[in-house]
Amino acid sequence: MTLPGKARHCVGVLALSNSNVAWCRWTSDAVARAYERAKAVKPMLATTDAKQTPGGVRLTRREFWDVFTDYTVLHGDSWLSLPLYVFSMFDNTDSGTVDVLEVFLMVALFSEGEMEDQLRFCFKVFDTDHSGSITIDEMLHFFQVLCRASFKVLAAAVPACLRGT
Amino acid sequence: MPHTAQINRIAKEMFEIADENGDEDISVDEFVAWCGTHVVSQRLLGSFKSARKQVDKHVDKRKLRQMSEEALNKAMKNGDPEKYKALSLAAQVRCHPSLRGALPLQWMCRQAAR
Repeated sequence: MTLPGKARHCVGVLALSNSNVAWCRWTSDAVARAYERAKAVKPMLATTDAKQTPGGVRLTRREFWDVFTDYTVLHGDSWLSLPLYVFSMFDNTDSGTVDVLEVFLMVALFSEGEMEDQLRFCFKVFDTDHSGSITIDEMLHFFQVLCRASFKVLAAAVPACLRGT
Repeated sequence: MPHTAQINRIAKEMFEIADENGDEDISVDEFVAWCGTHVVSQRLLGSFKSARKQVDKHVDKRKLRQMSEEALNKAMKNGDPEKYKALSLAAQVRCHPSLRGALPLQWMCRQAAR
């Protein structure tokens, strides 16, 4: 079964914005705390090395769990965390690792809160030389990460039968 | 997924748009303003779509059809019903006017070549 282009686009947009996606529970503050944890796990994340590393700064499943579980926030009867299916979504090659910036970008853009705060967080993440501005190299890095992340999320959102596979 | 060259080209174009004062750097305010209008409002997705359409124009459709037919014949000879079914479906989707463009041409080309 294959849907026409417009319908497939709607499926993807719904999947991105729908509240059933786990990261909608995350607030801007929670994302910022997760970023600090990620920096502790991967110190190179906040340096210019982050954009020079082929394949990006990568987290294993265990590190993913450590970074994206916030033990200071309760959601229902469990800690705020990103479920492991999100890990699988970003690990589309079954390498056992994910690019941490791809996850942060999507979590930040689709988390709860003011859009301006989310965008300022993205700016901070991609301003790897901490100059207070984004250079063309940093912009290219931002775009590559944004592209990869968006396509992985959209690919996961559209069921296999609609992708014609 | 667009090629790296396309991503870089769009990124450079977007950089020029975002850099409102032309100082070769994007400040946080410029970034927020640009993202608000281009990334969040999904104009960016439109840019990728148009880039992909341009790439699709460069695909030799005759060669693609030929490859598809060869793959179908091969699957039929080898007695692989599953592969034959998948290839037939891909060919039908590609030829059907209402579904044309529903699947990226290059993706189908790769599937047919497998």
